[in-house]
Amino acid sequence: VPNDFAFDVSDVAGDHVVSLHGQLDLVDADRVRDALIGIAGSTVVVDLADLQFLDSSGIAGLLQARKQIIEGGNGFQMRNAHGIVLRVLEVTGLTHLLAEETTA
Amino acid sequence: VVALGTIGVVLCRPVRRVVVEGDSMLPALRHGDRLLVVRLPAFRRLRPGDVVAAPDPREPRRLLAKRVAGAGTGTATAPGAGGTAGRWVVLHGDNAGASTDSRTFGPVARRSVWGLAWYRYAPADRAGRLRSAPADRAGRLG
Repeated sequence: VPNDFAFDVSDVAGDHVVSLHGQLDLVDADRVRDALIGIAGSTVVVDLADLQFLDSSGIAGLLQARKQIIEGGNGFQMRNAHGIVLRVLEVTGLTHLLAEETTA
Repeated sequence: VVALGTIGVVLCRPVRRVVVEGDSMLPALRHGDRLLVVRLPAFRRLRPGDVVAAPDPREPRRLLAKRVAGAGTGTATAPGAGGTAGRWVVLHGDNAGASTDSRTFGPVARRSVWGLAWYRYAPADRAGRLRSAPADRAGRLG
């Protein structure tokens, strides 16, 4: 199975926005966790819009990063979950960690 | 029992926080209102008058907050708009003139509705549980 996971970081209005692409699973979970912790220094926003899949390792990585970043005094947000990724956050009881979404 | 049920609905279910954008649900919801949306799985019944959050059928990553104007089972279509089979709901904004809803895109599948807009947590002076408008009132508003 090809693993097409990638992420990129951009600075938007003083926040570090990390966009995840592809499938986040065991293969990349630690790498993402370390990268998120590494760039903290201001609020970290994890954008899930292009994430196609998230498994328990991926969740663990995100939550470990969240814990460390918050303990370090910075903010941590996740946003734009949809499809399977949103469903995974539902069944694991983590949707309340998503940032506020706009609704029309 | 009612209180326990209420607590159960809130504590045991996924919750999302949404910010209302626009005037489509005036006067019930104002631009900038912040709401807790509680997941209501597809087997739960929605009643006319409930305010729900559902993806925009034309742009699924966009979330809509609308009031249930009707619900049913079978094949449902709207003139000049989309249709759906199975269990469906009709979603209307209270402020018809400023709302894009089932009057434009037709009924939506019940399972596409994510959850019930249950509580307004900001602004503080209007915080509280959202009222489900009585069915006849929702019908008139729609």
